[in-house]
Amino acid sequence: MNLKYFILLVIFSGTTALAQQTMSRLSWEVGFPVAHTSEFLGRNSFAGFGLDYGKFLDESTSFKLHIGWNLFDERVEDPINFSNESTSGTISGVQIRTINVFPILIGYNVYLGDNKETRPYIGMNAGTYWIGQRLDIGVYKFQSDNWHFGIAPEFGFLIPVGRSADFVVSGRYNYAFDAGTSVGGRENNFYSYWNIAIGISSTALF
Amino acid sequence: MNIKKHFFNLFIISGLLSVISLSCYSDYGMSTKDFDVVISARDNNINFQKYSTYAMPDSVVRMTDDSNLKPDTTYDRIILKEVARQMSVYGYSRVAADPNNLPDLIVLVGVTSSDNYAGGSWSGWWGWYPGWPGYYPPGWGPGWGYAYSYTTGTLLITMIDPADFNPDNKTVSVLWSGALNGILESSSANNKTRIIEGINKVFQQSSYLNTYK
Repeated sequence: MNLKYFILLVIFSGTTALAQQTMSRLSWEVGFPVAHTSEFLGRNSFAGFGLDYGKFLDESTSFKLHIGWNLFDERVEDPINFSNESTSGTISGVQIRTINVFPILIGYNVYLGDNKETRPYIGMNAGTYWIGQRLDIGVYKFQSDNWHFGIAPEFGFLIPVGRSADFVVSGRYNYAFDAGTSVGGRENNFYSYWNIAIGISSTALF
Repeated sequence: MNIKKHFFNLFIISGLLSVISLSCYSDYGMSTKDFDVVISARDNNINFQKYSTYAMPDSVVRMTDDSNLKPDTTYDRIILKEVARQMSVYGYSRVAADPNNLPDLIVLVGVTSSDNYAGGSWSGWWGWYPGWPGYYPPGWGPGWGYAYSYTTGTLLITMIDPADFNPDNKTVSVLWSGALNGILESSSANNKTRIIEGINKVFQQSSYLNTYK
């Protein structure tokens, strides 16, 4: 991990230690690949989760640390065409295309309304994404693992379900900036996907 | 609850979630056949419609560094027959190998039986190839190499122009190449069908070879 991200995490951890009211959140996260991520594989991900831990700064704002995981995978049988100046060709075979994403983000949320009612919120997250892209074809495996800097604007609703718990529905657009190269050798190796998260947020969960 | 406890609990829960999530990995319903890979590559500067005849050896070459290896020739006849059939479908006439009357093309069929064989190891083939007239002195090889790393059990079909060779570099240009990987790795009863389908596929995805176009 890049040193600056590590330092940010340490600073953030120190901040939460001073918190008056902490909040924790556990979510099931569904992923929807978009843009050129969906060109590599277009299947939505139902394998994912998110964990948030943070602190309410006051009634309407909070800081949080988010970690999560999403697995995108798809069986593809379309042939791969390749070409350069002198040679061109085709590779046919069953391909298993996989993208594993592990975001580690720091977020800031702003809440509207009263905490006894359903509260919409918007937020901005930033941090790092570990993304492993893999292509399996025949007995061959091609893999590209990279750390990316990324941002993730977020919106959602907190729906009170108890004295210290909320049901949470949220959407987050994840954009991981260019880093390294793709399994195909492409330089412009950025990723983007949407998350829809359903979870429980509580000040007494942990 | 102190901050260490919070993070400890988070790690425990994330670990449990990871274990649960690993069960989300699918086996994708893969059968042995699904591991077959067919690759074809061509020289972009060649118009295959100008060729009409070809010669092909009556045996499949074992490209191996292991001199003690006893080759399994079970599928050789099937392989050669299917390659000849596909060449005929695309309008090529098979002729005898005659150094004094060169065919338009030479089609060579080989099977690798060692890992990572590709990359110049066709060199030296010409001199010892059984039953094949020595068109070229030993040490000559194709003009361009292969971009792939073939493993045991790869069938290679290579098409060269016998009139197009470079005496300075001692190379022969490969005009087209097809590869079937995985087919010969299994003792499955479906091998014959898979070989025929694989050869069919490699020609199908190389429709530019069709002289009737």
